[in-house]
Amino acid sequence: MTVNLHTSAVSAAGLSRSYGATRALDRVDLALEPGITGLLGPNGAGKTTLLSVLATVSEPDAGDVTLLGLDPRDPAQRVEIRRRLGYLPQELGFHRHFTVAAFLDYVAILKEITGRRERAAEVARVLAATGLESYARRRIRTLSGGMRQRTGIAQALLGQPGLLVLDEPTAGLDPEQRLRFRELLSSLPGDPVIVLSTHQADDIAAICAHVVVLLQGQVRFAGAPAELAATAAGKVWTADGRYGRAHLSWRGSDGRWRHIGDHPPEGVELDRPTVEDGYLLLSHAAGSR
Amino acid sequence: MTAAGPRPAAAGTGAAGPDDDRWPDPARRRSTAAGTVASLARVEAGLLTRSVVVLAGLVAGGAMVYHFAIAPTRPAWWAATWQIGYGQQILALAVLVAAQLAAGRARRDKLSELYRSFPATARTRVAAQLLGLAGALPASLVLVGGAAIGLELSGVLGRPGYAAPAAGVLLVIAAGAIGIAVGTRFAHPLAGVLAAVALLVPFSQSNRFTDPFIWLFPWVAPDQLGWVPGQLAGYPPAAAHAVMLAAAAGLAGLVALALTAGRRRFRLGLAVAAAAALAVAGVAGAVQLRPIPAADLARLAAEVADPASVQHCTTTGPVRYCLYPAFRAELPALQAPVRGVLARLPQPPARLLTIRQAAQVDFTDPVLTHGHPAALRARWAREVARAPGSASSSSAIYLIAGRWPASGAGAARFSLALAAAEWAVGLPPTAGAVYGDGRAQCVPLNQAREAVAIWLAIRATGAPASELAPAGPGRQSAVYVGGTPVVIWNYPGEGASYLTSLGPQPTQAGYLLAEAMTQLPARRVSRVLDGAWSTWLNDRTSQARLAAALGIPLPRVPALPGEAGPPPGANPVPSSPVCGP
Amino acid sequence: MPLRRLPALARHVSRTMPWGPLLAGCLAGLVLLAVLAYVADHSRTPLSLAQVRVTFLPALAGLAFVARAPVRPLALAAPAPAWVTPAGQLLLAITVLAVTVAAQLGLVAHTSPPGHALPAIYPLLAQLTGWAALVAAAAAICDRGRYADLGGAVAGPAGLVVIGAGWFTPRVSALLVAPPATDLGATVAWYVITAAALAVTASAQRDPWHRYRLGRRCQRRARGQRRPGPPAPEVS
Repeated sequence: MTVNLHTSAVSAAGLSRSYGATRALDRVDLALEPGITGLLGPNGAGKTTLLSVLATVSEPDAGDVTLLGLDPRDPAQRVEIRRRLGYLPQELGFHRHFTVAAFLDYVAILKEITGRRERAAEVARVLAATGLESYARRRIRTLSGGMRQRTGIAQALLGQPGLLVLDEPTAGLDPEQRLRFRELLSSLPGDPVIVLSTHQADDIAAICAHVVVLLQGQVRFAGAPAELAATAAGKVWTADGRYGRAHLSWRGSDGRWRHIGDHPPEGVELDRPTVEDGYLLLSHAAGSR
Repeated sequence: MTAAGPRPAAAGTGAAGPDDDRWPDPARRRSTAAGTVASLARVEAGLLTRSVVVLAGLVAGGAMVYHFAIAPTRPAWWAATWQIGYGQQILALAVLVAAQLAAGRARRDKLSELYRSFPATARTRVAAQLLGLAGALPASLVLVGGAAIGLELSGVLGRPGYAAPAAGVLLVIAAGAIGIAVGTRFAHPLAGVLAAVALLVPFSQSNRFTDPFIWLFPWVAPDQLGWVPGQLAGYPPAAAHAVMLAAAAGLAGLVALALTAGRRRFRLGLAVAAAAALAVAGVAGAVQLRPIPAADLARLAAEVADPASVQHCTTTGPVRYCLYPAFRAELPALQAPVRGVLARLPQPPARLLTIRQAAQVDFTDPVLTHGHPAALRARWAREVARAPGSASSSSAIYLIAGRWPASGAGAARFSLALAAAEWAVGLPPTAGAVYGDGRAQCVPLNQAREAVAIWLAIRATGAPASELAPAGPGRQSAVYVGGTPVVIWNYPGEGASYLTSLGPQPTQAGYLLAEAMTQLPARRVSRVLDGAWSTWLNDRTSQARLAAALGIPLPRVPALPGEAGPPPGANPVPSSPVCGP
Repeated sequence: MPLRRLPALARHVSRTMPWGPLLAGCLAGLVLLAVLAYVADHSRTPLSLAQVRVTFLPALAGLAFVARAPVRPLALAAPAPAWVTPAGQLLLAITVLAVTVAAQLGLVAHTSPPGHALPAIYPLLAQLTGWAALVAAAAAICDRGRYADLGGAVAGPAGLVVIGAGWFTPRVSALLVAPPATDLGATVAWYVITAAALAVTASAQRDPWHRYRLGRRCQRRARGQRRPGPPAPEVS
């Protein structure tokens, strides 16, 4: 896939990164436009590595990448990228003795929002956006895991970034908060480029205009969620009993078995495939190579 | 604001609608690095000011200042300004630990990855933390201010200097900078604690260093600080020490910045600055090692050897008080116990008693006299060896300058009262006896005048019996007089070195009789004493006779355990003389 | 008996032991004492036991990082008591500290002139044991409190402050420091303090359910209820 580094908001060509003998990213090509892009992949696929490269936290071993039209290899442009970046790492620690507001205030300064009034307004904005206003004066160590995750999301939103890199942002959020998170992402101003990794396929289906499937460090699919789901067309069916030759089978809440496989038996009731089905088929195919 | 272009709205959510005024246009923030550093520094300073570790250091430092500068002896500014630094040293160690924890906070709390994604670099954060050390200033200034108030309330002598307190504040800042440098490299909390202990050891062990190079360590404790009878220029070398600490702070800050520096040009700049800081520290160190001018030391030696040449004397009745100019404020405290003794005498003595301050300065101490030829140091040492107070005297009491306590002065007052009473009854108040040099104090064995002297001292000072009680059976001490052991009495203040040398060695028999006399009405005792004063002053008048005159039985001294006299074959024990007329 | 599990856990106790801080502290103390020994050689004033005390402080700082229960939430949910691992680690730490003190005393003896006898060391050993117990107690308490994440960074200075306060408080030091206390008296006092500190350490390490049991007992007492006993036998 040929990527034109100068037309897309975020683009990568031939991106590779290794950790010792482990090749985390293997010649990844990427072209992302403003909007929400979901990153799907199993554990160890290279999602976190890719996101850390996009967040300018780690550098690739090979390949080119441009972020918002800027080259992160240049120190000055890298700082400029970071001024427009919001990042939520997968494992985010906290200064546990800070209050929520104090932590956000500190991060805002690190994002060079130095005007006191402007900073206070920005902190108030992200607190409201993430529903944390009433927790502003609570110490982070007293918060539940989900609220800490929301605090992490809040700090990523500071400064209204043009590029938002979120690594598993919905981990630890309750169902209502996941829905509110979708609402939040959908209504961000400025049309930022949002890349988020998740294990929740329904989040991808719900809000992502674009989905990238990463398997074993390589991009196996890049396109719309509907296209990913379409790859499983005719390969998903429901039956009363279990079918041994399906790739994956499980019993649903209605007691019937749902199957995913390349060769459904004759006469079975085919189901409409979901994004998750398409991903599972893709993952199975990659694993059997 | 909706997403424009062919991208579909996210399923399941409404398009961003008319609430766009919730999201104002992003303000263009082009903050300078200086602005970011300043904002971060304010936050870091606030955290440091409120740090529990720093507050604990402030409390411990205050306790240190109280222990060394305020509690033990009447403070003097020329020593106290430096002793306040002992508390600053403790506060500095706490600031070091707190700063190290702050510098390593990002790594300890697993925020390194997130911080790397911010435009503010690690160098910016370190610079902000260095500036944020200003947050330690309130604690340091509170310590100085609180100590000054405490000292003034204790009646501190002299006038304060400003170089030493300023150097103490710089010590705190320098320690914080060291903590940041350590924390930038080592995030583990133990690193800060070990660095603090490494600074604590030279401070606590400074008396083992006999080289003048101890001045190059942060804030050592010189031995003779409180013994000089007045301000001595250049001792301690506070101003140069302050400059050295400032350079050390700068150097530590540069090291911390260098650990986070990326570009070669920046590192080169840091190296140049570090070289300059080292040069400044070197010059300041050299200034600290400059010898105290010979003229100043000669003057000090003269003041010690011949205090009469500089002291102001005040005569009150039969007593003349001679004090160094800086200690004149101590006069009322010295007069009180002596007046108490004189008031109870049946007649004023015909002789004059001189109570004189004597300084004890060791001119062989290389920390004081380094840089001068050995011959000159030896000459000064010989000169001060002739100082008054080391020879026996029947009409003078010598108080060691700088040893009089500010509060809780009971033992000191009793020592002085007893010496004055011994003079009043004809015993030599200064026997010239010094521990360990072989000379023995005389013993007023079975002399009534001894009991009278002790009674006068007890009455003059009101010392409680609990402080005066002698050692119980089995724990008594004895001296030998003519081969016979005599149980002695150790009075309050005897071992505290308020006087240059002790008077006669009091006996337990004399104390017990005096203690029995205090149980009688004072008027009755006075009547007996007044009736035959010259008899009681006679060295041949026995305690039994006094007891009989008072109508009380002679108290019995508990026997010493074991046999009397030294064991056979043992080296002969020196025999103490009996006090004569 | 929970301690029966200790041999099986020995390998894991040793692997989860924070060797770094402990060894760093012990080595730092030895280095400091070696520096003082060098100075003592040149100034011809031999080291004394006081220097052993001062240079033992870094080892105490390292000890403050030892008395912690690794993966505490997981350990509390396991049938083996959570204090077994910290107890094993403290036993290991005592061994290291003992070796450190022996090395320090060897350095002191090395700087002493021939024929110069050191004073009795048993009061010193009692004192250092007491100090170590106080720091371990501080660490165990911090591990249960709000500063657990800072661990020894709080416990170490807190323990040292307690030690320093005792040293400089006249009434306390009169009992614990010889002179004026006697060697035997100071030794006994320090071992009493050690026992008390170890009791505090054990208390801090125990299962938090004791608070629930205590609360229930208090409630029953308040209601005047007796503990339910076995059912009375039926009488036919």
